[in-house]
Amino acid sequence: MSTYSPLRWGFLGCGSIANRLGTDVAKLPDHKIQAIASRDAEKAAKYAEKFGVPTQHTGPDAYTKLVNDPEIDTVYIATPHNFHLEHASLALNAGKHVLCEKPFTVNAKEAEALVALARAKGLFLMEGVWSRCFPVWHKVRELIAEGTIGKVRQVYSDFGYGAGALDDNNQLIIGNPNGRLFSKDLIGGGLMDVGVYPVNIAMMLLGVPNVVKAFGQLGSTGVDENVGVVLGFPDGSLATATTSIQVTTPFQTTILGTKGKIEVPFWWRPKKLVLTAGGNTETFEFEHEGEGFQFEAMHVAECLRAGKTESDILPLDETLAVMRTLDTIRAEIGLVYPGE
Amino acid sequence: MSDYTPLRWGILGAGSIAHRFTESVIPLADQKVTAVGSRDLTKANAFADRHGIPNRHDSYEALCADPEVDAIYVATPHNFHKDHSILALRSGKHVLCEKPFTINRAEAQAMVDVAKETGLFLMEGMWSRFFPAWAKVRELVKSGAIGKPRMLVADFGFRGGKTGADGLLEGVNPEARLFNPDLGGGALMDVGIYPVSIAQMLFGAHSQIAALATIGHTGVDENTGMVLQYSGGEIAMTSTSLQINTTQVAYILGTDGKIEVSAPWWTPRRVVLTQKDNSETFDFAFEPHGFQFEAIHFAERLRAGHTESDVLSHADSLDVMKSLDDLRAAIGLKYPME
Repeated sequence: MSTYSPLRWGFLGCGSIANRLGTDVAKLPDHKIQAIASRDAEKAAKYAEKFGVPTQHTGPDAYTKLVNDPEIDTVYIATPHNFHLEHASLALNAGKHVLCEKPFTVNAKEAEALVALARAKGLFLMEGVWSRCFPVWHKVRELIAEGTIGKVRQVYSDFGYGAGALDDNNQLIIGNPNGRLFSKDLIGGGLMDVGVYPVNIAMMLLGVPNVVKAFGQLGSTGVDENVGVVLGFPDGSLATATTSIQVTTPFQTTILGTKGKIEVPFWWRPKKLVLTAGGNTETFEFEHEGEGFQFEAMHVAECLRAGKTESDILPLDETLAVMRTLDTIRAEIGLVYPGE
Repeated sequence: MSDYTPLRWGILGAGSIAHRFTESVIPLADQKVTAVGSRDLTKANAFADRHGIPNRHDSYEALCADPEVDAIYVATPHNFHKDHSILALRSGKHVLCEKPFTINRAEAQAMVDVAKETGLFLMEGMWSRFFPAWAKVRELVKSGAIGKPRMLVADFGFRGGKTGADGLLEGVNPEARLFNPDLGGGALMDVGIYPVSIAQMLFGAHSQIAALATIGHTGVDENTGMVLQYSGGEIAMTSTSLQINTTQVAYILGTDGKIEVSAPWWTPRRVVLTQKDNSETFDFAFEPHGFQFEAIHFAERLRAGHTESDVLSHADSLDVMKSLDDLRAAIGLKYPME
């Protein structure tokens, strides 16, 4: 039985997110990127060289070989959204723990299947919403729990970035309609790419919404380009969230309570928070190396070493609730993916 | 016929907003406040004494009949706006009516109809639009500085009292304007109207709205979230509240950059334009409250022979009232007089 020291990772997929996470994880002393899998041998070799990964699994059954590699403990799923269910299931069925990139799956139905599998197998499974693992968010949770800003009544959060110019119909002029961001087959659109973040963080702060309202503009490939969401919660609090691939948003999360507020700039990978309460403003800064993917990797390791099968920062029931909320938002804006 | 130099104001209603408007107008060289009217003569006298206003009236009818008044500033509670504005127009006076223009769009249409019939100037006192900072925003947007504007993010809420364990306001005066449904109370009609109006300025009439709100013990909305969509696919993301102080920062997000209107964006002194990696700050100093900007605009257009504002036209105000009607329907807030 592994002690998870070091935690031996197998990366399933070696695209840009695997490169970014790999850069931060490669520097952690008690973690090891043991294996990498890609159907493209050249990509795998390049990745292995860059991060000093001992084992490369390639070819048409690269992913199957990876998940059956006895020298890995945990599989990190870094393939496009629409493959998450298939690849995470593959890993769980092979007895491996799983960290699955966000969005967890395409929809709640898929998420339920994945969670059921992990629970049946007694294996660890977590959605890679890395934001939740940052020290800043630990501090925010602590401040709120202590009642520093009173009862939270509103949360605003945004994540959008401008992906180009618009045509006369106010739709993005798209260079490659088959790219991940724009293709409906690859679960494109702003909501599933970056809109998942504000929805996720709002629900971390306020719970499960009982009212979900949204409008979104669909672009020429049928995916959402400019979206506004309002979530209402049973205690009368509410969240407003925006996402866009037409404009770059302020990258701000603001938590408004009856006794004060907390602002988190660059909130999905934050280095500081600003607390305003009782007539005073206080800034808490948390420096870190790299982008900050190390925090979720460290969290996964801590959970595993403690014998947990779920994260307490992002329990699976919360992931399921987020996926259900995303389903409702997509229904509101009329975004249905192929096969649904 | 008056050439409106100076423009002579009559103040209808002697509440707190009337004091601030009057204090803003008195320093203007070519405007003066010549009269005030209140149903309570003691209040009218106190108001007039405080600001050095010569004519005092114990009725709105008498104020509107005062030959030394060119324009009436309507500063009574929301539910009286229609009747008092129409009274002034029928008395031959131009009208600046506090926001919200009226309780609903139907009332606003009735007011506009009388203005058109009488040929007199009528404008809603949505003062934010007239601040130099917002004039700068319009100029920047028009010049294409942020590309196509696609999204407005703006909130306006303030803590109107203590909240109980249920998160709702408690111990507030149910008769007060802010909390009383009979007086058109609630967060939306008091301050939620600001982001709705600015969104209309940027994007025109809404095509779809959705909203949710918590209704408090006095029967008005206390914590309200709204999303509005416009014909070009633009989005306005807004919230209002009487339970909490919001950030009161506004963002206009475009395809090539963003404009931040610093807090409090509804009476702003700073605009920050960000394009790619460049940032430029525009500062605007003013004293005292900022009501002078709408008064100056009103006088300028009146002197130029206009009957409505080009910055806030009748159609603009009607669009805003339509948005408010739809938002209230969405949150289930119907006033007793409707």
